[in-house]
Amino acid sequence: MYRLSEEHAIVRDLSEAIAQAGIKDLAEKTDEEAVFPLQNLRSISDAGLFACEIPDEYGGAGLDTLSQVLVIEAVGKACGSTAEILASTAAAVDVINRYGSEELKKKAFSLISSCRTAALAFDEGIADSSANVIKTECSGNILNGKKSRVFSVGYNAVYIISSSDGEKKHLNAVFSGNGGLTEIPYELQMGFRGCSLGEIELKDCRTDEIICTDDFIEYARNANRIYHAAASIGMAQGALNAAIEYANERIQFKRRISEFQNTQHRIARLQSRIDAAIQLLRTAASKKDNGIDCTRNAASAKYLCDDIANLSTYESVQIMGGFGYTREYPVERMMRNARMAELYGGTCEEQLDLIGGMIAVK
Amino acid sequence: MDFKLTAENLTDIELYKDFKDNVLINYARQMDTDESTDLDLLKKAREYRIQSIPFDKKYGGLGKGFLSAILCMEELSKVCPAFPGIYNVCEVVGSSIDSFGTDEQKEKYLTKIASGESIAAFAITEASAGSDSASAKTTAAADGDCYVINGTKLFITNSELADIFLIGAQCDVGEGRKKISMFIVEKGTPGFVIGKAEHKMGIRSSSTCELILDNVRVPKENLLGTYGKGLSIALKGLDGGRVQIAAQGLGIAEGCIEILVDYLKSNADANCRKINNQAIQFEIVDMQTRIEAAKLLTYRAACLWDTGEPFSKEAAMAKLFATALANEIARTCFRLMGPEAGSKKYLMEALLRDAKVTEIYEGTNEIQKLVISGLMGLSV
Repeated sequence: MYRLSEEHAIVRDLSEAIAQAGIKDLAEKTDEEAVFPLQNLRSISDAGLFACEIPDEYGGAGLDTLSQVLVIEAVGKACGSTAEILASTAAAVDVINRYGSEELKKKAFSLISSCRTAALAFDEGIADSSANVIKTECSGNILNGKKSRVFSVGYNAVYIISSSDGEKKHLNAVFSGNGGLTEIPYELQMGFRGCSLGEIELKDCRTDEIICTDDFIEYARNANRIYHAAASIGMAQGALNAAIEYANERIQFKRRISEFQNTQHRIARLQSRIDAAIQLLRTAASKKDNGIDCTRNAASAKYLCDDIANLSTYESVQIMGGFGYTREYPVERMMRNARMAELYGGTCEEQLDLIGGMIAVK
Repeated sequence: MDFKLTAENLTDIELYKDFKDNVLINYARQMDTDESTDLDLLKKAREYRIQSIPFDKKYGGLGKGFLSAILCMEELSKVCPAFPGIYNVCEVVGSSIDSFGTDEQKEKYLTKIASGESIAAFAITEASAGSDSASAKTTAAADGDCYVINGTKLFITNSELADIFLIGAQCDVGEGRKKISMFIVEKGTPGFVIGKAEHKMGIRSSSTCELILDNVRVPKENLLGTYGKGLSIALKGLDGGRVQIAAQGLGIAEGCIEILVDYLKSNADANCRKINNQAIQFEIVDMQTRIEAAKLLTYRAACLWDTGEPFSKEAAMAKLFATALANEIARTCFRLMGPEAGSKKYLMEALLRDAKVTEIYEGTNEIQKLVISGLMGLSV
């Protein structure tokens, strides 16, 4: 079980304040005009909470994974795109912190501390990220291959890339500006429109560092699951909050619609599920912070948080009726983003395969 | 009991499929991007006489009845639900005039709708009157040989395409009480303005706007049906509309499954999800099974409408079931398709966005539940 310390509570409240102050206002533009939300990242950075797991000695806040989860949750309530970018960056920072050399940490963290993003680049083609075959080749320190579904393409300071030499799997760091690296943003998709999703192509790309050749994959994936799950559960709560606000203002049949039993029960069901998913997510984060294997909890949290995000955003649109369906209100955007969440940061099927494999087969 | 579609129904479906596969699909993505209806497409649909399907031959329709109209809705919704939605509204307005109109109104307006010459719009909803339509604020007051209408309507489908508008307004019925009457208002009537267009999550191919009525004078003969009984006219029109929306949901669900299965089969060699996976096949089977159940509900409601029997409850149940199903299936297909589902290369993401509105318009699904519980006599 997790417990929030006083410090955690401060991080949570501060993140909440930033999210509700400026980030919320920019969320519509971020989505509609597909703007990479640099301004949002800057305001989080100004509060000292951007990539907050970077250790003190490298210019970061030196906070734990649970704190980072709280930041992403809070931001997710206001802007899904910004939260997903934070999640992607957090996962890369986490992996560098765990496996990187002193030199890599110094270089990467000094860039990220000045509000540059970073990303894991593990996925290839249209395969689920659980696919065990890595096609990107690492020969000596030269990389060749293509990675898909990468966040913040064109904005990242550094990519953390999985590769294989045919026998062993490698984890590589490649900094932007590397001549062998081509960043190719996708055409806009249904959701995550501010995230600059895309591919990166590696052509005889000299890796800046082979971080490790250990079994890093599960660690990196767990980190990825936890941070992206935090973005999802933030969206779930953000949509429900918007629906509750609307239900208290909207009058039909001479009553606020929040006074109808149907509305109340619907909201109660959603909030109960969100609360349960948050417990699981924070437990996974806390286990990770304490060096306890969190794989099952992390996978379940990713699956469940995405699922609740879908349900909550979808029902919030319904509570808000025709208004909820228009782009003047935030919930339709949140619903589009929630649908995307099941495809990014580890797909739903990947989590089910993993959990099922762990517990169903004796 | 006969659960089979007739040979004529099946021939009709072939024609609708032809229009869908050879015409409509070529416009679907672009119209979604442009957030407007393509006028060339409207012309082509007129050649196929889509709008005329349900209307009586004596008014210039095809006389194929309502079942054939919803089969068309279902087929076309597999690629672009917003487009047949245009004709649903024409059907609601046309059938209201057919049921409640005078011979003159039928001659003047129904013939134009039935023949496909004019598109129609139906306006009840207002900013403060959504589910609670009786609380509408738009008013109509008698003045000489006219009614003068004032107010603002919201979320009106076909606003920018229609020539004929059926509009609800509150009228004095004595003792200070007001009740809704329905009026036929022509495009271009002085004081009648199309307001701002809504930007929606989905169904972007059809226009949804505000209507502003500022001292709009309509001749008294444009009152539809009985003065003060407009709400029951509107509700009867919506019964038919609800079956249409059920069919729209069905089409969306079937369209999603088609895209999913095609996609998984054509990517069978890639390092990706396999159509042969048990979990995926079982989910597809579950979805298809429930679609068949929704079809029976929907077709039954349409048949009752065609034979002139009461069908309010069946219409509401069909809409409730089929549209909830459409959303569930759209989400499942989107997830099963995997990483590329959100891409604009496929219509999957558009259908997913379109699906949500089916639970909202033509009476939210909460309203369907109120209708059904009323007809079941649940309250004591």
